[in-house]
Amino acid sequence: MINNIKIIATKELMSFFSTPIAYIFLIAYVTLSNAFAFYIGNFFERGTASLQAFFNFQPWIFLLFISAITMKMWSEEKKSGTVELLLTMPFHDIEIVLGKFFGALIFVTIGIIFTFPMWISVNILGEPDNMVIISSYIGSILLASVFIAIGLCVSSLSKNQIVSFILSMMIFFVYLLSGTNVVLDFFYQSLPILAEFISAMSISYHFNFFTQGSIEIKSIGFFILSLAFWISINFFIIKYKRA
Amino acid sequence: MKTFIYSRKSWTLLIVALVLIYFSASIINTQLFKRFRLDFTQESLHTISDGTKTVLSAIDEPIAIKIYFSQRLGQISPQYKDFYDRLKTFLQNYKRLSNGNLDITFFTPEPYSELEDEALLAGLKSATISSLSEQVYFGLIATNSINKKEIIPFFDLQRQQFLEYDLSLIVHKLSQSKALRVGVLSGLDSFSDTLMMKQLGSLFDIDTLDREMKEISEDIQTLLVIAPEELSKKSIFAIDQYALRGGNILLFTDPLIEGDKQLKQENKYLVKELLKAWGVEYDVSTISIDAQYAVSVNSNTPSGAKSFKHPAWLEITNQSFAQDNIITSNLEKITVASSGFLTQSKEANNSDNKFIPLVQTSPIAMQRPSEMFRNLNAKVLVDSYKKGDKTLTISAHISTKDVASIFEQGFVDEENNTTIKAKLVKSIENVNAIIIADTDILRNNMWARANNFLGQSMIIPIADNGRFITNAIENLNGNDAFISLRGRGKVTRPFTLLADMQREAEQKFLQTESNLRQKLSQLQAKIHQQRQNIKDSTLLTKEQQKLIDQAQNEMVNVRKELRSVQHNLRKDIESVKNIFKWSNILGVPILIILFGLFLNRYRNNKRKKYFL
Repeated sequence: MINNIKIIATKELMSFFSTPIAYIFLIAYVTLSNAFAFYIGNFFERGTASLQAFFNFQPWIFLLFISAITMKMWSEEKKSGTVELLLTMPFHDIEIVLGKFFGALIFVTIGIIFTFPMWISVNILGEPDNMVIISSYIGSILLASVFIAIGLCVSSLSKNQIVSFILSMMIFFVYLLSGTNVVLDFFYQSLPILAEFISAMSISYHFNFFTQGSIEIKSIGFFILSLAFWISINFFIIKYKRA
Repeated sequence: MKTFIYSRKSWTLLIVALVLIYFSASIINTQLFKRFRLDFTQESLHTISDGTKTVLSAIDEPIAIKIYFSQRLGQISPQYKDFYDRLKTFLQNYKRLSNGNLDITFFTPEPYSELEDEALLAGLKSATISSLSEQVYFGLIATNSINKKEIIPFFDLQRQQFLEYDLSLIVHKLSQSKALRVGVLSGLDSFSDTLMMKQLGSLFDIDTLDREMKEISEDIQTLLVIAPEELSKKSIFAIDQYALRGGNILLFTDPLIEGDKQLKQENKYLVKELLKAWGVEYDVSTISIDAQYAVSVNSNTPSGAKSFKHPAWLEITNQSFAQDNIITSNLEKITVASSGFLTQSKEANNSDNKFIPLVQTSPIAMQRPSEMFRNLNAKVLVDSYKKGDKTLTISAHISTKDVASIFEQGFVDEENNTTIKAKLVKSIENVNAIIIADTDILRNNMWARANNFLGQSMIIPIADNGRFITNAIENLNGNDAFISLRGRGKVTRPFTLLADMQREAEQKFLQTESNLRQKLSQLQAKIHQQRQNIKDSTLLTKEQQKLIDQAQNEMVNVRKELRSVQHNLRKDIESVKNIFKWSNILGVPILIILFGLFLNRYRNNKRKKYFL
């Protein structure tokens, strides 16, 4: 099984790098992340050697980029007809789904690795808490993986890439917005029971713990459950389409 | 059956079931694992300390905590937003550990709302965002069941590292009916108004004792003695008797009080005798010199103000503190000035007695007569800045058994012409004291500055003198829970490279400015001299005019140079910032392009090899 997943993942990764689009994505992701950190995040003005200014914008940058990366993963294959070829190959449906997921995850992780010069820079400039930065990167990868799972799932619903893109963005947006202070504070004051439920389901609420250096076991549990849920939905959609 | 399995209805039911399982599992997950975390921060900022857990478990009545935070403040200040998030995390953990006794609510007061009025009435302060003329709030109100109130009117960013301590202190105060009673017996008036006394006053019930009292009351739980060499014999008698009945003592003595070098110190030999009786040798006329911990000071020389290392003013760091002692193990630095030193006497050196050094000099310290430093000048500073070979103890915790009173024959009260008999001629309990051979450790300029923040006076520590004294009092009384809370380590992590550049540039600027101003005043004097030489209604000679013109031109150049130095001060720092900014924003994408080109070339070569 693992070998098959590896094959599909490698195929997906190579398909990213076979066109200049991959490089454009990576350049745009790194440039935007760093520019946001310096200009909107007030990296120097904060006066603190940390990457908080950088990680604060990651969820919103992923919202745009991961939607763009995943929109074509199933949609393009369905439109061009290669999906039938793929589904007739000697791979289980779950292997195909996981292979595509890991292919996209490796690509996004490469993008995240290209932001390491920021980490090096902040270490030259001061004495940051590097363990907090490590936990923030772990959080970013977990966040990206959930977004990829969602994007993949949505992409499998439609042949149209634009529809996949917009629908993914909307779901990401709901997941992110529900964890913001504005929304949570409103519910804490008016409907506290619902506030607990909303915070439990919010990606930004769980991601914030990672950026503060606190790896909450409940947050890891949430990311794993979300991954399992969206990959399962994707799997059942493929199975349904095949049936 | 087969039709059902592959029908749209069955798939829909499956998806709905998955959604329900997902939502339920997420909620169960959040409830089940909410106590468990891995704290990745260096200072364990997300881990509630044992001290706080002790304080929270001791709450036996409901305490309500209300936090007011304006959203607008979070939007305009990322530092305050981070501070608020950290505060929320802490309080949520506090609630969890309080067995339901803490009720915590968060409010976001809007301008002109009822909530704003409520906050103001309760004593919170507002800050104004000048661009919008809007009031913002970030404060805390805590009340217990008898309506006793504790307030943080506006959270100060500079006290962020003390957040856990401040919160736990509030909870502790509201859950305790009585604060520790500390009696202060001071030989100097100058310490009553210090920030140290203010800090102690916020933590303990301070009772300033009469210098003429001959007996310390039983309800004084700790006796703080400052400069006993300035006290009367009667007061020293009271201290002797208090120590013999096992009272807790924190004593500050000093061979040379920097703040007042002309003090007579009439009873210094009596204090020496008292300490000897407690098993401590103390030389009243010698101070500690330490080249390693010497602080830089400015001193006037014939050629102007210069910076020197003052070997008697010490900034002692953590490596010279007792590492396994709860009083000092989590302190970073303590500053002292012209301190003495302590050693255990030979007679007391046995297994029944303890002499625990808490603060020491480095191993290259030495002793010097205090008289050398009474009238200080640059020559003394330079001559005494040498390496020694001793480690001297500046502060020690002693516990001594079988101590005899130094007033065995009683005390002669010369004023009333009576002899007061000593109630105790020998100790009934071990003498338990922490002795600090420096009084200047208490002075404001040695450890803190007062920050007036929105009308509230906040103490901002620059050294750990305050924590050291407070820890000492808590430890003497067996109240160690709070000691672990004081300052969990640095929360601020400045850009040290930029700060160093700034400091270097400022020093360079100050030096250049000083030289240029000197030159400027010399030129002005020269011009003035030339003009003096000219008598009224006498025309200038060509030479005189030339000299004046030259001097004036030089003055213009000097002023230009001064302005250019000021301008260059910021230039270097800005260019370093720009280098980092653009190398990350553009430099990395260039690397990606190069990576892409390399990968492409590698593939092409591989393809060529395959086809050849």
